[in-house]
This record gives sequence, C-alpha cells and structure tokens, in this order.
Amino acid sequence: MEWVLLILVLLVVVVGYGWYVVLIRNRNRAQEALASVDVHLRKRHDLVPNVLALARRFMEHEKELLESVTALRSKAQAPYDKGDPEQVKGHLDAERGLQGALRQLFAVSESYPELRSAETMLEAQKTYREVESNIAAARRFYNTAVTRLNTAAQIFPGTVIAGIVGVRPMPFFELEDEAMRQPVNAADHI
Amino acid sequence: MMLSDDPLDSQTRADLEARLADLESERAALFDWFKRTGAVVIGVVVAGMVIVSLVFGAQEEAQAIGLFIVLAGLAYGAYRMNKLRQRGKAELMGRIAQALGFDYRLNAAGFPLEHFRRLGLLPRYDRDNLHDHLTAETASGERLELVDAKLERKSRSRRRRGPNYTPVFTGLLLRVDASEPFSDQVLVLKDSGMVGNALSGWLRSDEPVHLESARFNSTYTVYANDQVEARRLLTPTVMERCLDLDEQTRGTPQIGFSEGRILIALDRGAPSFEMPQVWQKWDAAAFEAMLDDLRYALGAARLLGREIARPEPESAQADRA
Repeated sequence: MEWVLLILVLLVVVVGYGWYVVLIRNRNRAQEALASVDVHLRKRHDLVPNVLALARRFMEHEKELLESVTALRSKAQAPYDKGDPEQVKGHLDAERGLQGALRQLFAVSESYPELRSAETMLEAQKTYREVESNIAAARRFYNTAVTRLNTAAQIFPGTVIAGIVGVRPMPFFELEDEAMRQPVNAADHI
Repeated sequence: MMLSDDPLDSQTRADLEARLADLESERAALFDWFKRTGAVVIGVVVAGMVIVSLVFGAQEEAQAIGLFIVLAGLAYGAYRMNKLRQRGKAELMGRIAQALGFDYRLNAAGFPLEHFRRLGLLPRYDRDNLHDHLTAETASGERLELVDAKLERKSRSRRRRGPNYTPVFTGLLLRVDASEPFSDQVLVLKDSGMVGNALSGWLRSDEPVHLESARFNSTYTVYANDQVEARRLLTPTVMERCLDLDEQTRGTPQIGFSEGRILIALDRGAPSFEMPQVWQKWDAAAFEAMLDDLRYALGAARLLGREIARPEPESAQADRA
C-alpha cells in the first residue's frame, strides 16, 4: 500500500514538473514573440512623425484626425509590463487603435491629390505596407505562442500549476478593431 | 501580359500542328526505313551465317560476326531515331516555350544543383542528369530558371559486377532570384513524422516553425532562423498553394528561401517535356503533354505569386499593326 502511494506521489510530482516546464517554456516563448511584435510596432511608431509632418502641410481640415493619430501613438508608446496580461491587452488595444487611425489617415489622404502624389508620401505608404506586413507576420508568431501557453494554462492540472507559479493566460493580438470586421456595404462607397 | 489557362494563341497552335505533321512524316518514314532495313539486314546476316557455316564450317565465328552486325545495325537505328526524337522535342519545346515567354535549351549543364543539395531539398544522390533548361523573367523582373532533373543513387548489387544506379528523384527544379530580399533562411520540407522530425531537428541549427494550419503542419515541416520572417514568406495564401501543389505532385514539394533565392524541388516520378517514342504516333497529344508539363511548372511559380512576363502573340501584333 505504501509503495502504491509512493508511486502515485512520484507520478504526480513528475507530471507536475513536466507541466511546469511546459508552462514556463510557453510563457517565455510568448514573451519572446511579444518582444518581436514590439520591434516591428516601433518601426510603425517611427513612421508616424514623418507622415504627420507631411500630412499637416496639405490636410488642414483634418486637424482632428491628425491629433488623434498623435495621441494614439503616444498611448501605444507608453511603457508596459510584459508579464501582466492586463497591461499587454491595453498595449495591444492601443496599437490596434493606432493602426485603424493610420489606415484612416491614408484613406483620407487619397482625397488630397497633391499629398497623394507627393514623392515622400508615396515612399511613406510603401514603407507603411512593408511594416504592416512584418507586423502581421509577428502577430501570427505571437498568437501561435499565446495559443500554446493558454492551452497549457487552462487545461487541468495546468490551471492549478499555473495558479501556483503565477503564469496567467495572455491576450491575443486581434487583427483589427471590431468596426473593420463588419461586412462592407457597397452602397456606402458608391 | 499574364498567362491564361490556355496559353497558346490560334496562330501558335496552327504553327505547332504544321510542324508536328512534318515531324510525324519524318518519324513514319524513319520507322519504315528501320523496319525494312532491319528485315533486309537480318535476312542477309542469317543467309551469310548459313553459307559460312556450311562452306567453311566456322559456325561459331559466323554467329559472332552475325550478332555483331545485327547489334551494330540496331545501335545505328536507335541513334537515328533518338536524334529525330531530340530534334522534334527541341523544335516543339522551343516554340511552346517561346509562346509562354521562356527561353529554352535542351542542355541544362551548369544549373546550380549545389544550393538545392546544401539546403536538403533533394534526396542523397551520386549522379545527376539535367536537361530542358527553361529561363524566363517574371512580371516583376525576377529571373526564373527551370530544369528537368533525374538524380540517381549508387548501390552495389551482388548479381552485377559494376555499380547499380537507382533513381531517387525525377522531376522539376525551379529557381527564382527574388527581388524582395529576405534576411534569413526558411525551409519548407516534407514532414517525416514525429520521430523523423525529432531526429532531424536535433541536428539542425535552425528551429521548427509551427504554423496555424493543422493540414499544412501534417504535410510539411518548416525550419527557419527567424520565426517572423518565416510567417512573412509563408502567408496563408502561400500555405494553401503549397497544399494544392502537394496534391498534384507524387512527392511533396520542398521549398527553400535562401540567399535571396527561392528554390523548389518537385518530384514528379517521371520525366517532363518528353516526346512520345518513335514507334508511337506523334500527334497533337505530343505537344499537349509538353504544354501540361509547362503549365504545371508555371503553377509551381505561381505558388510564390510569380507570373511569367509573356510576349504578345504574333497575331495580336499583326492586328494592331
């Protein structure tokens, strides 16, 4: 009887330790992926001042939009704790907001022929597309890592072990804001 | 101009049919000559052997000489038929390739196999035979090269004295000089199962990339130095196209992104761009088969979003003039 109990305890320890290793490895992987997302997001931040400087020369009537881009950039650049899922979520939401505002800015700039044809603007748009493509790839890497972490942390006995060692599920980096997911009404664009 | 599903215009098709009719006449004449001459030679040799055996009593010598003459005749006949086949292939392929925007050479010596081998896109081999070298420029100005390759591995046989060569790869190799730079190496290899992947993974310096599609992950194993770069190159569209190509190919395609080049190895299990044998009729099916092979190769190029810049058909140029 004692042997059976000992074997059971050993089994629990081995499984528990194995699960702990998987959790820590997945958390580190998710944080590494988040760091690589940030590298590409920083490139987006670096692009914003140049675009804004150019836009201010031509888009005098879009003051509100330009100010919102500036504000969203400042919000997105605010430091945050990579280990705190709430703060990570806030950071990613801010980035999504900035992405939406930048997209809107480029869309509105189409109505300003002088701005649209400016060499610097064309360059900025090209760079923006490249940066967004890299962010999309980094986002996929991050979401894959988060899926693995969350699966390990949300399945028993992962829930218990994660609670003991303080590993928490991380938020996904969603594609874009909710408004952009809605079906497009063609009549709005005709 | 981009390639459509039926890429040959009516003028090119008419030219090809006329040229094929000429080749078919040559083939039929040559095959008739071979049959007639063969019958005469065999008759003369047999009669000679009988006479020499009866008159001089040298039966063994007569048999040896007779056999030599028959074999030499067969070799000469095979040489002439093969020459016609190669000429026919070069003419038809040259014309089809030109219509699709390719330059064509029968000989593909000098094609850099080493890069494919280094990345592990090919099985281990000891002897290579490359032919049908096609080169083109993509719509975005990238150079694309394609060859038909047969790779063989040497093995020792107890029954044979010399080495034995077994084919390990018969298919197409495609190489694109990418205009978009990629900083790291990304390899899309055939999945070798959990144990196989674990064993090969130990020996690698790069790390496996786990992508979103379960179907893709069970067909391919991706290795890369940079996880983000791998995902930038392997977009969901490219992943879908890789799976489509896998369904059309005997062996799973293997793809490498390395040193500014995209390399694809497609094991088809049979040679491409071949003419029918000389004893078979050479009809429209001959160039349709070549065209299908080229379409397939173009499908592989499209896998990576590459379209071949195709020249304007002559008939369209004439209409415009």
